[in-house]
Amino acid sequence: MEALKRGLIAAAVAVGAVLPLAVDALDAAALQQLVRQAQFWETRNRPDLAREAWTRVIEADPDNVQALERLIELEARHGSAQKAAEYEARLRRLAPDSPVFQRRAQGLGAADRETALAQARSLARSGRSAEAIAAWRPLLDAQGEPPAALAVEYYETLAGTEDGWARARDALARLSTARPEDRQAALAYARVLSYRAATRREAIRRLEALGDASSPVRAEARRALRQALLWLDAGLQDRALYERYLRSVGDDAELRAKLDGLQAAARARERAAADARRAEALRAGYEALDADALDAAELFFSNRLNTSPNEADSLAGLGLVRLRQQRFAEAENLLGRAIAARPSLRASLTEALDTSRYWRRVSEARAAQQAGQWREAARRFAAAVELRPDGDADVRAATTRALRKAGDAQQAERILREGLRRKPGDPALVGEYAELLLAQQREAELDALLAEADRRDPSMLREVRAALLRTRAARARDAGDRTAAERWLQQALAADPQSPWVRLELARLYRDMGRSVEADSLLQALSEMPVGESDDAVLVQAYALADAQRWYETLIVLERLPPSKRSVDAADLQKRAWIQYQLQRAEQAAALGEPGRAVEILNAAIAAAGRGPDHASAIAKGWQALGDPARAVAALRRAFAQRPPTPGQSIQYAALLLELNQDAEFEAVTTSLIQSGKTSSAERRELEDLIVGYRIKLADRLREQGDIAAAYTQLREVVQRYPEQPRVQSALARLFTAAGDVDQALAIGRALLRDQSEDPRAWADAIDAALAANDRETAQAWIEQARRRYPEDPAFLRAAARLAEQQGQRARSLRLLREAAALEDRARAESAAPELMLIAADGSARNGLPQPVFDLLQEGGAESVGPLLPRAGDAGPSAAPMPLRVQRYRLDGALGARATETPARPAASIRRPLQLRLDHGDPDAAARPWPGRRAPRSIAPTLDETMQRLETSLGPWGAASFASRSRRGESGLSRLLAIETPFDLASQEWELGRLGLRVKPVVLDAGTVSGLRNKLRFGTLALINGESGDLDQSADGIALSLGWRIGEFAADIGTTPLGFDVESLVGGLRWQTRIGQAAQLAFEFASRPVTDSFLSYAGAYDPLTGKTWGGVVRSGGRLDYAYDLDRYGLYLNGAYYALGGRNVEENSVLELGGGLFFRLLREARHGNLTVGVNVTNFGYDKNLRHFTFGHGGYFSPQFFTTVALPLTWTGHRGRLDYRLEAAFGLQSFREDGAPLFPGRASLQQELEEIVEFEPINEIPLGYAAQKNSGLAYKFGGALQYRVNAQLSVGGLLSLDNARDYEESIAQVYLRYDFAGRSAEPGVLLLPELTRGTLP
Amino acid sequence: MIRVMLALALLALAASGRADDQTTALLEAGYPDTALAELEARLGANPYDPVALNNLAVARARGDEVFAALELLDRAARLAPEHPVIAENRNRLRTWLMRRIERADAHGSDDAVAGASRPPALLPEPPPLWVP
Repeated sequence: MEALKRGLIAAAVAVGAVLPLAVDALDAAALQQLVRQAQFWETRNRPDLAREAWTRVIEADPDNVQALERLIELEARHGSAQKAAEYEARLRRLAPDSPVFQRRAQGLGAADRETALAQARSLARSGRSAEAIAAWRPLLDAQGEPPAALAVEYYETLAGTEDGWARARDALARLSTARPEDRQAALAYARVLSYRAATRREAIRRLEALGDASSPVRAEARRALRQALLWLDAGLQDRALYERYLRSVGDDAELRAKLDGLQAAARARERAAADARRAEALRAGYEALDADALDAAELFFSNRLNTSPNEADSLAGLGLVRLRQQRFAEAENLLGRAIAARPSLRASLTEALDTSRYWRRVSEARAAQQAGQWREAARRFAAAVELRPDGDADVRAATTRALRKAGDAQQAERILREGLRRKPGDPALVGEYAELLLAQQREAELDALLAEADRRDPSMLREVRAALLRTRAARARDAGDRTAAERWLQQALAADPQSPWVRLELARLYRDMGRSVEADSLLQALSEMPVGESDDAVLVQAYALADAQRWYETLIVLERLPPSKRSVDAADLQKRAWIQYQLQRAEQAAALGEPGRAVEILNAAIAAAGRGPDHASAIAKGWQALGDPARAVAALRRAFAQRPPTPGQSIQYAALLLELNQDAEFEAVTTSLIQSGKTSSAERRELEDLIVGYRIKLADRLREQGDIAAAYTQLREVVQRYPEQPRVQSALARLFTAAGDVDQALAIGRALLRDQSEDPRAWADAIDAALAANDRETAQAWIEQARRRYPEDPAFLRAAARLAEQQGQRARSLRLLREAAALEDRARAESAAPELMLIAADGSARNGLPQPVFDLLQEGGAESVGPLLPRAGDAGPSAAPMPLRVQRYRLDGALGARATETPARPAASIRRPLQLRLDHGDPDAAARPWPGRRAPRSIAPTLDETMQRLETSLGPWGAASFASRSRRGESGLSRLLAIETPFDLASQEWELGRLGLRVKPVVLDAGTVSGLRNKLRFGTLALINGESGDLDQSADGIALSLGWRIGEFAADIGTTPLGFDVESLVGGLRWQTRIGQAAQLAFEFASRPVTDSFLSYAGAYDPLTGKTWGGVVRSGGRLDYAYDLDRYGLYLNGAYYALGGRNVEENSVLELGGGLFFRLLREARHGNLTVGVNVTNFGYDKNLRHFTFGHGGYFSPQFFTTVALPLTWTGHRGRLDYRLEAAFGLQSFREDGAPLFPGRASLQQELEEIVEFEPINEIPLGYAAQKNSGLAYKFGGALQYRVNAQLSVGGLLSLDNARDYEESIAQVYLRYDFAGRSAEPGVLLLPELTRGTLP
Repeated sequence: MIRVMLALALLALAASGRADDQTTALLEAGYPDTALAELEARLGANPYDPVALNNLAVARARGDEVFAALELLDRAARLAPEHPVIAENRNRLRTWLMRRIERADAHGSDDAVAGASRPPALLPEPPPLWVP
């Protein structure tokens, strides 16, 4: 190999060394070879190759004459005159005598021309254009131009050569222009033009013109045209050329095919172009999608779909956008449509479509989950899992959670187990399984699971562990074991310190336990968590704020949750807080004086709450806050119609029913609640609280109806259970007051007010008890305090009025009642909807009917139809035409009797104690149902009734009376006929009292003193042995008196009848009051005439001495005490008087008395029957009952006692009032002996001297003592007729009989009350004869 | 033509006037349900009739539907702000409602924290409801 290399190198060096020496020899040989080649080609008639060979010779040897000569001819034949000329110039320089020049100057001969032409044409026909042109050369002139006749043929041949086309075209153009009639020239020119693509359409145009029917070259032109059309690189724009040709020439398969191809190609080209354009157009959209510019991509594809709704690419593009936007349902729809529009897209879009379908199911399931539709959520989750069994474990877990929530725990567990088999230990599935066990309280299994989880990952089931502990805490709390609940929650907090829920629950527990500071601290830590760190933390903060009813802050905190994180619970809380906040705003708007706005806001809350039951309680509270409990009830009822109420809602409903006095429904609701046993302990407390209120209400109602026993039954259990509740105590106090146990009521009242209660009802009840107990001082103090506290509460003005009335200050009482009435009127005006004005047809205001008329119309109920009949038929139960007055209060505060008080009628002096008590004027009427009657009236007197009673009682009145009193006795001495006709006028009662004036004409007639016996016992006639004429004992006069009465005090001053022999100033002071509930006390200091006889009353004239004596006045004090226990009572009295008259011995008397009474019958229909026993004792210092000078003429035993059994029957029938009295008894008295002239020692001494001097005379020295015992009786009766509201007439008859004593009284009277006060039934207005107008 | 139109307008006015009288008479005669139906039918035909609104408010107030009455009067006052009867009715009802609410408030505030002060102005608007 190495030897071969060295050989080759040596050969190369050898070649290099000999190369310059061989060049010359090589050129000559090569040149010769080239010359031979050229000559060869000329002989072969290949001038082109011959010219090429000669050209290479010239290039190798530029001065080669032979080559130049051949090239001149060849170029000239070829038509390259210029080159031929160049070669001629070079040849002339080298060989000026060359024969070439001669030959060219001589041209060809005719034969040669024909031969040459034939050769040229032959060559042309065979397609050898270049050779044909070369053949033409001898025919050309010196300028290379053919003869004119052959010019068209020559140029047409020339056009077929490679380089001759342009020259030929130009020449033919010139020819056809120069010879317009030469159609051959025109045809040739057109044909030549058809050879080149650039001019082919021009050629076609010319050929079409030449091919018409008249053209001589029509056939050739059409052929040329057909060829040109075949050559034409046609487009759609050329379609008309073909169509024209086919139309004019007829069908041509080739051209038809070309036309069809042309159209198909055009269409294909158009499609391709459109595809390209579309691809270009879609490029922007897909680029945006790839760049994650979803908005831009969405806009792009949407716009395209607006114009082309079914464009598959855009559908697919928008579908992909939706998929990226997680709008899976839309994505699925769009992708499906894209595939339907272009099935070829299926392969590329299937995965996206499946993804959309999967996540669409998942998202729908989550939406259902968020809406709380657990069963639907479970179904959709399951469908998703079915699509991808090995898909997301979270979805499987969510499926089981939804199933569990939907109540299908069994299926949930099955799916979970299947999931755990596929993905053992998957945290989501394990967590869900733990939740399932927790929910099913399978705590043992759960503990095992937690232990296993701890072994794997201690933090894995942290939340479940906390949830388990929370569950245990909740259980403990429900069982009331707060300590255990706290322990569990603390463990939960330790297990999951990040859990806001544990904090919330622990805080709630602390708050329940009153440990607010710790609760706040826990929640404070929660609020310090960074915003957004945990959505649960935000939600828990919101819950905590909602617990505190800080609704606005709740809403603001909830706004921190992004919309995608707003769970069903969060949305529920937001709605609750929103509604509550609007209620708060409505209430505030109302308080700010914008009720319209309040209603508007409340309506917004109602609209938000919807008609569903969820927020009905809140709405009801809203209406209640606006003072419309009826709407509140309506809201709850509507809610209950849709869903059975929770116990809490039922309790709220019951509270509203209680407020609206819907008692029957209240009882039904509360009973049902109690029987259901579904209430929590707190709810039970709340419910019982309501029931306590209801029991109190029932007890009050029964009490007001007078059924004390039933009221006590209602209250007893309540008192036993809640003795410490002030309202219970208050109710009991009311009951005690009504039952007359006023001391107990007052004790409760004192306890109620010990802590300065804030409850006005407690104050009212305590005051009521004090008033009933007649503890005026306490009542006064409490009333003052209560009025300071509650100046707008009319109850305390009424109480003050009652107190004033008890004190006898009825005018003041009336004033206070009027103030109370004004307050009540205002309150009533505020509570009843105002009367609004209608607008009549003429646009004017039209006030409504008067209220009573309106009430009556409303009361009718049924609409009256048909003509009005002359007499109302029996239409069954109908409303009362007038208010039914079945009860009336009567305040009987007078201790003293209005009627004349005598010892024989002791019961009449004792009245029932001062207390507010119903006087059942017609108790049957109260029980008697009135057909169609509305709710029974409260039996408590209305304010109007009380005021009316007081107003009438305060009015002025006048009375006139005629009284005849007759005593059996000795004429001129103890016999007496007294006619008294008092005229009374009482003023209105003012706060300073009432004034009364009496003018009382009196006529007395005792007969005449006649007969020695009587004369000896009259005056001093005994001194003259009775020697005197008969003495008339009659007198008349007019007594005047003025009275004043204020409250419990009364005073009067007056005279004995002016005109009597002895006139005296009389009068008295009286105070009567009550002590406690039952006791009454009266003091009187008075000076009154003694009207037993003519002598004691009017005084008598002694004819012997010319003096008058008598006219006895009794002055002293009297004390009355009574204790009335309603059905029976006792009374005591004592008095001491000094008695004196003109020329009458001074005397004194001490009286003591007492008795018992029993009210046997108390029926309005039959009247009241009272029986009793009465003991009366008195004793005068001196016996001055005789008629001699110094005696007083009044019964004055030294000892008197009587035991009587009085019986009184009072009552009334219609306007007639009556009283019948009878008393039977034993009486005994003892009189001391008395001198004939007591206290007149000189007269007595003179008398004794006369008797001593004339002992046979019958002149008595004095009066013997005596004892007397016997039966006594009394009958009497009074009748009164109330003519009308002003006028009453009445009369009295009385007969009092005892041994040596008989008095009969007859009296009639008229009484006129200017204030229209008719006497109350059963009350006799008999004028009192002794004490004056105002006894 | 104008005369015919005028006659028709007067006829309608007269008919309307009779309707007013009829409904007010029904109301005054104690047939509130019938009156309510009449007035509501009338408002159905012309919801912008301030007189019918006023009279319906009167009927509602008599039925103790005071809040509904106030809403009606508010509407009537917006339609006829110068009508003295409507203004007076509205003023009466507003005043009465205010007092009633004050009373309810006072009654309800017994258990409230003592001294809790009321904000001087209406509370701010809440954020929108998430799920209307």
